[in-house]
Amino acid sequence: MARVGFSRLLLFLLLFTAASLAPPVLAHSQTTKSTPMDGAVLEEAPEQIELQFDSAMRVISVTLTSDAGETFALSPQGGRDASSQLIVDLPALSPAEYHLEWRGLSADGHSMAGGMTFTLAND
Amino acid sequence: MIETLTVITKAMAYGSGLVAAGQALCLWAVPGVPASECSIMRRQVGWLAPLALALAWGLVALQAVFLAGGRWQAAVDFELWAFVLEGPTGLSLGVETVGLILLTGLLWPGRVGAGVGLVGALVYCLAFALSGHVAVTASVWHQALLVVHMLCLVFWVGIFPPLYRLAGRQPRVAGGVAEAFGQRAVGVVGLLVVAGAVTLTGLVGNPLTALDSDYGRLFAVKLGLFALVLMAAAVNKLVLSPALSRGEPSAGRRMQRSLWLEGILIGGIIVVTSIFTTLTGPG
Repeated sequence: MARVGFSRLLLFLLLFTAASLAPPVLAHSQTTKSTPMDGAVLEEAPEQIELQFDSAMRVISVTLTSDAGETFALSPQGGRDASSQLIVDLPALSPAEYHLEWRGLSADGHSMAGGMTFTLAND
Repeated sequence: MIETLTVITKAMAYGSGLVAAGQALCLWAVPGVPASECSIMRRQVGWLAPLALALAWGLVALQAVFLAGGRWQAAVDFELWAFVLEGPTGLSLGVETVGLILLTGLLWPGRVGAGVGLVGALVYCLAFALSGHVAVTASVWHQALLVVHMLCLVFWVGIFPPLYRLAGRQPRVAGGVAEAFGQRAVGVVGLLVVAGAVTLTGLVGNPLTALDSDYGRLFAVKLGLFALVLMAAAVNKLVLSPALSRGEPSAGRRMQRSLWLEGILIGGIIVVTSIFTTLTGPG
Protein backbone atom coordinates (compact mmCIF):
# COMPACT_ATOMS: atom_id res chain seq x y z
CA MET A 1 0.00 0.00 0.00
CA ALA A 2 2.82 2.36 0.98
CA ARG A 3 4.61 1.44 -2.28
CA VAL A 4 1.61 2.44 -4.40
CA GLY A 5 1.27 5.73 -2.51
CA PHE A 6 4.93 6.59 -3.03
CA SER A 7 4.77 5.67 -6.72
CA ARG A 8 1.67 7.77 -7.26
CA LEU A 9 3.36 10.69 -5.55
CA LEU A 10 6.39 10.36 -7.84
CA LEU A 11 4.15 10.07 -10.90
CA PHE A 12 2.26 13.17 -9.83
CA LEU A 13 5.52 15.07 -9.35
CA LEU A 14 6.67 14.06 -12.83
CA LEU A 15 3.45 15.21 -14.49
CA PHE A 16 3.44 18.39 -12.40
CA THR A 17 7.00 19.08 -13.49
CA ALA A 18 6.05 18.51 -17.13
CA ALA A 19 3.08 20.83 -16.86
CA SER A 20 4.94 23.57 -15.05
CA LEU A 21 8.09 23.47 -17.16
CA ALA A 22 6.35 23.66 -20.53
CA PRO A 23 5.29 27.32 -20.81
CA PRO A 24 8.63 28.94 -19.84
CA VAL A 25 10.51 26.65 -22.17
CA LEU A 26 8.18 27.58 -24.99
CA ALA A 27 9.26 31.18 -24.53
CA HIS A 28 12.59 30.09 -26.02
CA SER A 29 12.67 31.77 -29.41
CA GLN A 30 14.94 31.76 -32.41
CA THR A 31 14.39 35.45 -33.19
CA THR A 32 17.67 37.37 -33.43
CA LYS A 33 16.42 40.81 -34.49
CA SER A 34 13.12 42.58 -34.96
CA THR A 35 12.03 45.83 -36.58
CA PRO A 36 10.54 47.60 -34.71
CA MET A 37 12.54 46.40 -31.72
CA ASP A 38 10.91 44.20 -29.12
CA GLY A 39 9.44 46.49 -26.44
CA ALA A 40 9.60 49.62 -28.60
CA VAL A 41 7.26 52.54 -27.93
CA LEU A 42 6.28 54.09 -31.24
CA GLU A 43 4.63 57.39 -32.09
CA GLU A 44 3.62 56.34 -35.59
CA ALA A 45 1.97 53.07 -36.51
CA PRO A 46 4.40 50.75 -38.33
CA GLU A 47 3.31 49.45 -41.74
CA GLN A 48 5.07 46.15 -41.33
CA ILE A 49 7.06 44.04 -38.88
CA GLU A 50 10.26 42.29 -39.82
CA LEU A 51 11.85 39.50 -37.78
CA GLN A 52 15.19 37.79 -38.37
CA PHE A 53 15.78 34.20 -37.28
CA ASP A 54 19.07 32.48 -36.63
CA SER A 55 18.12 29.72 -39.06
CA ALA A 56 15.49 29.08 -41.73
CA MET A 57 11.96 28.74 -40.40
CA ARG A 58 8.68 27.90 -42.07
CA VAL A 59 6.28 30.25 -40.35
CA ILE A 60 2.75 28.84 -40.40
CA SER A 61 0.74 31.37 -38.41
CA VAL A 62 1.19 34.95 -37.25
CA THR A 63 -1.18 36.67 -34.84
CA LEU A 64 -1.21 40.25 -33.62
CA THR A 65 -3.14 40.91 -30.41
CA SER A 66 -3.77 44.25 -28.74
CA ASP A 67 -4.16 44.76 -25.01
CA ALA A 68 -7.74 45.81 -25.80
CA GLY A 69 -8.41 42.27 -26.98
CA GLU A 70 -8.37 42.90 -30.74
CA THR A 71 -6.81 40.02 -32.70
CA PHE A 72 -5.54 40.07 -36.28
CA ALA A 73 -4.47 36.96 -38.20
CA LEU A 74 -1.60 38.04 -40.47
CA SER A 75 0.04 36.41 -43.46
CA PRO A 76 3.82 36.28 -43.96
CA GLN A 77 4.93 38.00 -47.19
CA GLY A 78 6.84 34.91 -48.30
CA GLY A 79 3.99 32.51 -47.57
CA ARG A 80 4.96 29.31 -45.75
CA ASP A 81 8.30 28.82 -47.51
CA ALA A 82 11.38 28.36 -45.33
CA SER A 83 13.13 31.67 -44.70
CA SER A 84 15.36 33.26 -42.09
CA GLN A 85 13.26 36.41 -42.36
CA LEU A 86 9.61 37.02 -41.55
CA ILE A 87 7.90 40.13 -42.91
CA VAL A 88 4.22 40.81 -42.22
CA ASP A 89 2.16 43.78 -43.37
CA LEU A 90 0.11 45.33 -40.62
CA PRO A 91 -3.45 46.68 -40.76
CA ALA A 92 -4.19 50.25 -39.61
CA LEU A 93 -3.55 50.25 -35.86
CA SER A 94 -4.91 52.47 -33.14
CA PRO A 95 -2.92 53.36 -30.00
CA ALA A 96 -2.48 50.29 -27.76
CA GLU A 97 0.07 47.72 -26.70
CA TYR A 98 0.46 44.97 -29.30
CA HIS A 99 1.90 41.49 -29.10
CA LEU A 100 2.88 39.64 -32.26
CA GLU A 101 3.19 35.86 -32.02
CA TRP A 102 4.45 33.53 -34.74
CA ARG A 103 4.45 29.74 -34.87
CA GLY A 104 6.39 27.61 -37.31
CA LEU A 105 8.64 24.68 -38.05
CA SER A 106 12.42 24.67 -37.90
CA ALA A 107 14.49 22.77 -40.47
CA ASP A 108 14.63 19.67 -38.25
CA GLY A 109 10.84 19.57 -37.88
CA HIS A 110 10.58 21.07 -34.38
CA SER A 111 7.61 23.29 -33.67
CA MET A 112 8.84 26.73 -32.74
CA ALA A 113 7.13 29.83 -31.42
CA GLY A 114 8.18 33.35 -30.67
CA GLY A 115 6.97 36.88 -30.55
CA MET A 116 7.60 40.54 -29.89
CA THR A 117 5.75 43.40 -28.29
CA PHE A 118 5.46 47.06 -29.18
CA THR A 119 3.37 49.95 -27.99
CA LEU A 120 1.73 52.52 -30.19
CA ALA A 121 1.53 55.64 -28.05
CA ASN A 122 -1.29 58.18 -28.05
CA ASP A 123 -0.70 61.21 -30.28
CA MET B 1 -2.60 23.61 -22.66
CA ILE B 2 -1.69 22.29 -26.12
CA GLU B 3 2.01 22.26 -25.16
CA THR B 4 1.36 20.24 -22.00
CA LEU B 5 -0.93 17.83 -23.86
CA THR B 6 1.75 17.37 -26.52
CA VAL B 7 4.42 16.63 -23.91
CA ILE B 8 2.20 14.09 -22.14
CA THR B 9 1.16 12.42 -25.43
CA LYS B 10 4.77 12.26 -26.59
CA ALA B 11 5.90 10.80 -23.26
CA MET B 12 3.19 8.13 -23.51
CA ALA B 13 4.15 7.38 -27.13
CA TYR B 14 7.81 7.03 -26.16
CA GLY B 15 6.97 4.95 -23.09
CA SER B 16 4.69 2.48 -24.87
CA GLY B 17 7.00 2.21 -27.90
CA LEU B 18 10.12 1.70 -25.81
CA VAL B 19 8.56 -1.00 -23.64
CA ALA B 20 7.17 -2.78 -26.73
CA ALA B 21 10.53 -2.70 -28.54
CA GLY B 22 12.36 -3.63 -25.34
CA GLN B 23 10.28 -6.75 -24.78
CA ALA B 24 11.00 -7.83 -28.35
CA LEU B 25 14.75 -7.50 -27.66
CA CYS B 26 14.54 -9.25 -24.29
CA LEU B 27 12.70 -12.21 -25.80
CA TRP B 28 15.81 -12.80 -27.91
CA ALA B 29 18.57 -11.75 -25.57
CA VAL B 30 17.57 -12.83 -22.06
CA PRO B 31 17.53 -16.59 -21.43
CA GLY B 32 15.50 -18.31 -18.74
CA VAL B 33 12.19 -16.48 -19.24
CA PRO B 34 9.43 -19.13 -18.86
CA ALA B 35 7.26 -19.85 -21.92
CA SER B 36 4.12 -18.61 -20.15
CA GLU B 37 5.81 -15.27 -19.45
CA CYS B 38 7.06 -15.04 -23.05
CA SER B 39 3.51 -15.38 -24.25
CA ILE B 40 2.37 -12.57 -21.91
CA MET B 41 5.20 -10.38 -23.28
CA ARG B 42 4.11 -11.07 -26.86
CA ARG B 43 0.51 -10.19 -26.08
CA GLN B 44 1.62 -7.00 -24.33
CA VAL B 45 3.61 -5.91 -27.36
CA GLY B 46 0.49 -6.70 -29.39
CA TRP B 47 -1.34 -3.78 -27.77
CA LEU B 48 1.56 -1.53 -26.77
CA ALA B 49 2.86 -1.15 -30.34
CA PRO B 50 -0.54 -0.09 -31.80
CA LEU B 51 -0.99 2.29 -28.85
CA ALA B 52 2.42 3.86 -29.55
CA LEU B 53 1.48 4.12 -33.23
CA ALA B 54 -1.83 5.85 -32.49
CA LEU B 55 -0.12 8.27 -30.11
CA ALA B 56 2.67 9.01 -32.60
CA TRP B 57 0.13 9.96 -35.30
CA GLY B 58 -1.92 11.82 -32.72
CA LEU B 59 1.13 13.98 -32.18
CA VAL B 60 0.92 15.14 -35.79
CA ALA B 61 -2.61 16.37 -35.13
CA LEU B 62 -1.44 18.12 -31.94
CA GLN B 63 1.45 19.74 -33.81
CA ALA B 64 -1.03 21.04 -36.41
CA VAL B 65 -3.15 22.52 -33.60
CA PHE B 66 -0.08 24.17 -32.06
CA LEU B 67 1.00 25.65 -35.40
CA ALA B 68 -2.48 27.05 -35.96
CA GLY B 69 -2.18 28.97 -32.70
CA GLY B 70 -4.14 26.48 -30.58
CA ARG B 71 -7.13 26.21 -32.92
CA TRP B 72 -8.50 22.68 -32.33
CA GLN B 73 -10.12 22.42 -35.77
CA ALA B 74 -6.59 22.36 -37.20
CA ALA B 75 -6.22 18.80 -35.87
CA VAL B 76 -7.87 17.68 -39.12
CA ASP B 77 -6.34 20.35 -41.36
CA PHE B 78 -4.48 18.10 -43.77
CA GLU B 79 -2.65 21.00 -45.38
CA LEU B 80 -1.00 21.55 -42.00
CA TRP B 81 -0.38 17.80 -41.68
CA ALA B 82 1.47 17.99 -44.99
CA PHE B 83 3.68 20.78 -43.63
CA VAL B 84 4.42 18.80 -40.49
CA LEU B 85 5.15 15.58 -42.37
CA GLU B 86 7.32 17.21 -45.01
CA GLY B 87 11.01 16.64 -44.28
CA PRO B 88 12.63 14.81 -41.35
CA THR B 89 9.48 14.44 -39.23
CA GLY B 90 7.64 12.59 -42.00
CA LEU B 91 10.58 10.29 -42.70
CA SER B 92 11.05 9.51 -39.02
CA LEU B 93 7.34 8.89 -38.47
CA GLY B 94 7.20 6.63 -41.54
CA VAL B 95 10.09 4.51 -40.27
CA GLU B 96 8.62 4.47 -36.75
CA THR B 97 5.30 3.29 -38.21
CA VAL B 98 7.02 0.42 -40.04
CA GLY B 99 8.92 -0.51 -36.87
CA LEU B 100 5.81 -0.55 -34.70
CA ILE B 101 3.82 -2.58 -37.25
CA LEU B 102 6.66 -5.11 -37.46
CA LEU B 103 6.70 -5.32 -33.65
CA THR B 104 3.17 -6.68 -33.73
CA GLY B 105 4.70 -9.64 -35.59
CA LEU B 106 5.38 -10.98 -32.09
CA LEU B 107 1.74 -12.01 -32.01
CA TRP B 108 2.69 -14.85 -34.37
CA PRO B 109 4.00 -17.74 -32.35
CA GLY B 110 7.48 -19.16 -32.76
CA ARG B 111 10.80 -17.80 -33.91
CA VAL B 112 9.46 -16.22 -37.11
CA GLY B 113 7.20 -13.92 -35.13
CA ALA B 114 10.00 -13.20 -32.66
CA GLY B 115 12.37 -12.44 -35.56
CA VAL B 116 9.91 -10.03 -37.17
CA GLY B 117 9.48 -8.36 -33.77
CA LEU B 118 13.24 -8.04 -33.37
CA VAL B 119 13.54 -6.35 -36.76
CA GLY B 120 10.67 -4.09 -35.68
CA ALA B 121 12.60 -3.08 -32.55
CA LEU B 122 15.68 -2.23 -34.63
CA VAL B 123 13.64 -0.19 -37.14
CA TYR B 124 11.80 1.57 -34.30
CA CYS B 125 15.12 2.66 -32.74
CA LEU B 126 16.42 3.79 -36.14
CA ALA B 127 13.50 6.26 -36.40
CA PHE B 128 14.90 8.31 -33.49
CA ALA B 129 17.96 9.23 -35.52
CA LEU B 130 15.98 10.50 -38.50
CA SER B 131 14.43 13.65 -37.06
CA GLY B 132 15.31 16.41 -34.65
CA HIS B 133 18.67 18.08 -34.27
CA VAL B 134 20.66 14.90 -34.59
CA ALA B 135 19.26 14.35 -38.10
CA VAL B 136 20.06 17.84 -39.35
CA THR B 137 23.16 19.05 -37.54
CA ALA B 138 25.03 15.94 -36.41
CA SER B 139 27.09 13.46 -38.42
CA VAL B 140 26.05 9.98 -39.52
CA TRP B 141 28.35 8.72 -36.75
CA HIS B 142 26.28 10.55 -34.13
CA GLN B 143 23.06 9.25 -35.68
CA ALA B 144 24.42 5.69 -35.47
CA LEU B 145 25.38 6.27 -31.83
CA LEU B 146 21.89 7.51 -31.07
CA VAL B 147 20.45 4.29 -32.51
CA VAL B 148 22.83 2.29 -30.28
CA HIS B 149 21.81 4.46 -27.32
CA MET B 150 18.14 3.78 -28.02
CA LEU B 151 18.69 0.03 -28.44
CA CYS B 152 20.43 -0.09 -25.06
CA LEU B 153 17.62 1.90 -23.47
CA VAL B 154 14.83 -0.28 -24.89
CA PHE B 155 16.67 -3.43 -23.81
CA TRP B 156 16.83 -2.02 -20.30
CA VAL B 157 13.17 -1.01 -20.01
CA GLY B 158 12.01 -4.15 -21.80
CA ILE B 159 12.94 -6.37 -18.87
CA PHE B 160 10.87 -4.42 -16.33
CA PRO B 161 7.39 -5.90 -17.00
CA PRO B 162 8.40 -9.60 -17.13
CA LEU B 163 10.79 -9.26 -14.19
CA TYR B 164 8.15 -7.44 -12.13
CA ARG B 165 5.58 -10.17 -12.77
CA LEU B 166 8.04 -13.01 -12.16
CA ALA B 167 9.32 -11.43 -8.92
CA GLY B 168 5.75 -11.57 -7.61
CA ARG B 169 4.85 -15.08 -8.82
CA GLN B 170 8.08 -17.07 -9.20
CA PRO B 171 10.84 -15.31 -7.23
CA ARG B 172 13.53 -17.94 -7.85
CA VAL B 173 12.91 -17.91 -11.61
CA ALA B 174 12.96 -14.10 -11.44
CA GLY B 175 16.37 -14.35 -9.77
CA GLY B 176 17.73 -16.38 -12.69
CA VAL B 177 16.28 -13.97 -15.25
CA ALA B 178 17.55 -10.95 -13.30
CA GLU B 179 21.06 -12.39 -13.12
CA ALA B 180 21.07 -13.27 -16.84
CA PHE B 181 19.85 -9.77 -17.64
CA GLY B 182 22.38 -8.25 -15.22
CA GLN B 183 25.28 -9.95 -16.97
CA ARG B 184 24.27 -8.39 -20.28
CA ALA B 185 23.22 -5.11 -18.72
CA VAL B 186 26.74 -4.23 -17.54
CA GLY B 187 27.93 -3.88 -21.14
CA VAL B 188 24.63 -2.41 -22.34
CA VAL B 189 24.55 0.32 -19.67
CA GLY B 190 28.20 1.20 -20.36
CA LEU B 191 27.40 1.51 -24.06
CA LEU B 192 24.26 3.54 -23.25
CA VAL B 193 26.31 6.04 -21.22
CA VAL B 194 29.15 6.35 -23.76
CA ALA B 195 26.78 6.66 -26.75
CA GLY B 196 24.66 9.24 -24.91
CA ALA B 197 27.68 11.31 -23.84
CA VAL B 198 29.23 11.35 -27.32
CA THR B 199 25.90 12.26 -28.93
CA LEU B 200 25.34 15.07 -26.40
CA THR B 201 28.82 16.48 -27.02
CA GLY B 202 28.22 16.33 -30.76
CA LEU B 203 24.95 18.27 -30.38
CA VAL B 204 25.88 20.97 -27.88
CA GLY B 205 29.70 21.04 -27.76
CA ASN B 206 30.90 21.55 -24.21
CA PRO B 207 28.13 20.19 -21.90
CA LEU B 208 29.03 22.75 -19.19
CA THR B 209 28.52 25.65 -21.59
CA ALA B 210 25.21 24.09 -22.62
CA LEU B 211 23.92 24.67 -19.06
CA ASP B 212 23.30 28.29 -20.11
CA SER B 213 20.42 27.15 -22.32
CA ASP B 214 16.96 25.71 -21.53
CA TYR B 215 18.00 22.62 -23.46
CA GLY B 216 21.19 22.19 -21.44
CA ARG B 217 19.42 22.64 -18.11
CA LEU B 218 16.76 20.09 -19.03
CA PHE B 219 19.51 17.75 -20.13
CA ALA B 220 21.14 18.18 -16.71
CA VAL B 221 17.82 17.16 -15.08
CA LYS B 222 17.77 14.12 -17.34
CA LEU B 223 21.32 13.18 -16.37
CA GLY B 224 20.49 13.63 -12.67
CA LEU B 225 17.54 11.25 -13.01
CA PHE B 226 19.74 8.85 -14.93
CA ALA B 227 22.27 8.81 -12.09
CA LEU B 228 19.45 7.80 -9.72
CA VAL B 229 18.37 5.05 -12.14
CA LEU B 230 21.92 3.72 -12.22
CA MET B 231 21.96 3.57 -8.42
CA ALA B 232 18.64 1.69 -8.34
CA ALA B 233 19.92 -0.69 -11.05
CA ALA B 234 23.11 -1.31 -9.08
CA VAL B 235 21.05 -2.24 -5.99
CA ASN B 236 18.97 -4.60 -8.17
CA LYS B 237 22.03 -6.31 -9.57
CA LEU B 238 24.22 -6.48 -6.47
CA VAL B 239 21.67 -7.00 -3.71
CA LEU B 240 18.20 -7.97 -4.91
CA SER B 241 19.01 -10.39 -7.75
CA PRO B 242 21.23 -12.59 -5.52
CA ALA B 243 18.59 -12.40 -2.77
CA LEU B 244 15.95 -13.63 -5.24
CA SER B 245 18.17 -16.50 -6.33
CA ARG B 246 18.80 -17.48 -2.69
CA GLY B 247 15.02 -17.57 -2.19
CA GLU B 248 14.88 -14.95 0.56
CA PRO B 249 11.20 -14.52 1.52
CA SER B 250 10.89 -10.76 1.03
CA ALA B 251 13.19 -10.53 -2.02
CA GLY B 252 10.36 -10.67 -4.59
CA ARG B 253 8.51 -7.81 -2.94
CA ARG B 254 11.69 -5.73 -2.63
CA MET B 255 12.58 -6.34 -6.26
CA GLN B 256 9.08 -5.26 -7.35
CA ARG B 257 9.39 -2.08 -5.28
CA SER B 258 12.80 -1.35 -6.75
CA LEU B 259 11.54 -1.95 -10.32
CA TRP B 260 8.65 0.44 -9.68
CA LEU B 261 11.08 3.13 -8.56
CA GLU B 262 13.41 2.48 -11.50
CA GLY B 263 10.47 2.54 -13.93
CA ILE B 264 9.18 5.82 -12.55
CA LEU B 265 12.62 7.42 -12.74
CA ILE B 266 12.96 6.29 -16.36
CA GLY B 267 9.43 7.68 -16.87
CA GLY B 268 10.81 10.97 -15.56
CA ILE B 269 13.64 10.84 -18.08
CA ILE B 270 11.10 10.21 -20.84
CA VAL B 271 8.98 13.17 -19.70
CA VAL B 272 12.02 15.47 -19.63
CA THR B 273 13.09 14.22 -23.06
CA SER B 274 9.57 14.86 -24.35
CA ILE B 275 9.75 18.43 -23.06
CA PHE B 276 12.99 19.34 -24.72
CA THR B 277 12.28 17.56 -27.98
CA THR B 278 8.89 19.29 -28.17
CA LEU B 279 9.57 22.81 -27.06
CA THR B 280 13.21 23.59 -27.35
CA GLY B 281 16.44 22.39 -28.92
CA PRO B 282 20.16 22.77 -28.60
CA GLY B 283 21.09 26.35 -29.45
